[in-house]
Amino acid sequence: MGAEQKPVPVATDEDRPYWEAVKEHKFVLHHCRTCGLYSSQPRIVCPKCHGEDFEWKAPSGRGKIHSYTIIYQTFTSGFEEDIPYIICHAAIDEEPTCYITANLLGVPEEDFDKLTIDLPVVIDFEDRPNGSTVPQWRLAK
Amino acid sequence: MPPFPKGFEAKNKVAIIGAAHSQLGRRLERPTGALAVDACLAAIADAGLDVKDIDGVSNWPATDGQGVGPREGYNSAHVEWMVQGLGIEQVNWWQSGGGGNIASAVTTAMLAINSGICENVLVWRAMWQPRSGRGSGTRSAAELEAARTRPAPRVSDEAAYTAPYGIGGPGGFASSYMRYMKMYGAKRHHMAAYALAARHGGNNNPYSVFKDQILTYEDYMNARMIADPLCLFDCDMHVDGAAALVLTRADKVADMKQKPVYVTAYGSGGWDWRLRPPEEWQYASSGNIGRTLWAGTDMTPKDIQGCEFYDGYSPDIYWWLESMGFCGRGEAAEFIQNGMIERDGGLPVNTFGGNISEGRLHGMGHWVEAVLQVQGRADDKPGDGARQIKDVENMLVCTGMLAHGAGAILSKEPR
Repeated sequence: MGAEQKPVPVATDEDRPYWEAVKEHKFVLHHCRTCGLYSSQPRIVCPKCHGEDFEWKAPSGRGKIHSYTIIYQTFTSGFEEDIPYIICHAAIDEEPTCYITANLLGVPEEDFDKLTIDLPVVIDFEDRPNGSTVPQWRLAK
Repeated sequence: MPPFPKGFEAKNKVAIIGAAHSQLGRRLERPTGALAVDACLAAIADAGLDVKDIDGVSNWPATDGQGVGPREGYNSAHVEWMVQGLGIEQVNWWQSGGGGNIASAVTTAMLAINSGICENVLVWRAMWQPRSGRGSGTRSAAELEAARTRPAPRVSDEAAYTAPYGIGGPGGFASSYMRYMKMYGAKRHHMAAYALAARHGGNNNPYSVFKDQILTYEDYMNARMIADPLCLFDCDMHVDGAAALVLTRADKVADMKQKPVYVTAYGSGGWDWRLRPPEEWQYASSGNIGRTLWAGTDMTPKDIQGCEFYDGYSPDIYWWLESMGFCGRGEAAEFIQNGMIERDGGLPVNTFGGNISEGRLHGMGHWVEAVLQVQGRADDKPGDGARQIKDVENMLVCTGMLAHGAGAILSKEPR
């Protein structure tokens, strides 16, 4: 029970490299070879240059908080015991239009009010009891 | 980007002549289809028409079911079901929108009427509140136990990037609102002005599920958090119920029972919000609606006596007010203070309660109220309190902020 019920990401043919990298605690993103746009999820056509030639490329893993909230009523299985937990949308340093949404780990509820936009964050990885691994944000040291 | 046409073709050529609700409530016994028929028959009667006069039908969305799948007539009432349910012999035009909002159903109906393909179009939205699980507002002990023991859901594609983080419900809007507060210095107490104004509307609205429930400033400030900074009273209220409109050709209205409400300006969103960050999508979508609406009319915000703004969550009101030009970016929290958006204030907003204090009809409640306000009969039904705004010439109604939304000015006279 509990955290084992958290949703498990299942790779598709298109995003398998992302989830396989995450399993090895590496962070890669879909990257347009033509114009260099990073995207948070795989694209079929690049919205910036209409290119169709993509690679999986590792950004630095650093970003800045764009927006965030702390959830007190959850609608997702497995999160009941995590309440309250933070959701953080942060843009990666390499591409200000590329936002990665994840939890922000390591910030207790009493420190929530100290958060603000533009704080630097880094990608970390969370291995969960149900066998899944997901990228997560942490405040940069 | 090509300029928006100055004065779109349908301007002044379409009038709304019927508007009505069904009963609204939490977990009603009456099936959704019956509620939808109630609203549609009432709107047709309100227009002084008969079912046989309806030759166009328009609805949104194409599929429904609130996560449990559609059961036509029981938890949804779409175009084909309604044509059968009302016993309409022939419709010349029908559409059931895919993306967008109820605004898409209303505005495509305007375009269809103006094209000449049909004369009298019925538009409705019927809502069903899930009886269990997400959206139901409650979870039984058995459901909680089942949630603890069922296998972890397996998610892929877009859901793989959100569900494993426990995002759901208001998370995206809460983040947007948090950014708004950090950017512009807005505080929670500012929003109380909207929650209370909306509740005053709900208290004067016989259809509101909050008709008899007073909300105080202290209630608002002490409410439990759902997703900080969104508290309980910032969230819309799921209900069972329906509302409907009848639109017709403006050159036919001389013979009609009700005073016509002319659609005198129209603005359109059109924006892919997926993969965009919170807050930017709300400004982008509502900004497109504002730009295109004012580009197509000689009217200005000063010509508007009141607004009905979609409020899935209360901060939507800030984005609407700013994007529609009533105040500058980041100024809405101050703008709504001191009674400004109350019925007798400078710019009444959501005089009927909005989604947060009438019940969530996915925007149809907003359109119905705007029509009643322009016709001057917002106080006329049994149970109506004092909702009517004084001397209304033009109301602004905006619904839909995610992908395709729309705004329209509804007017007493052609403009």
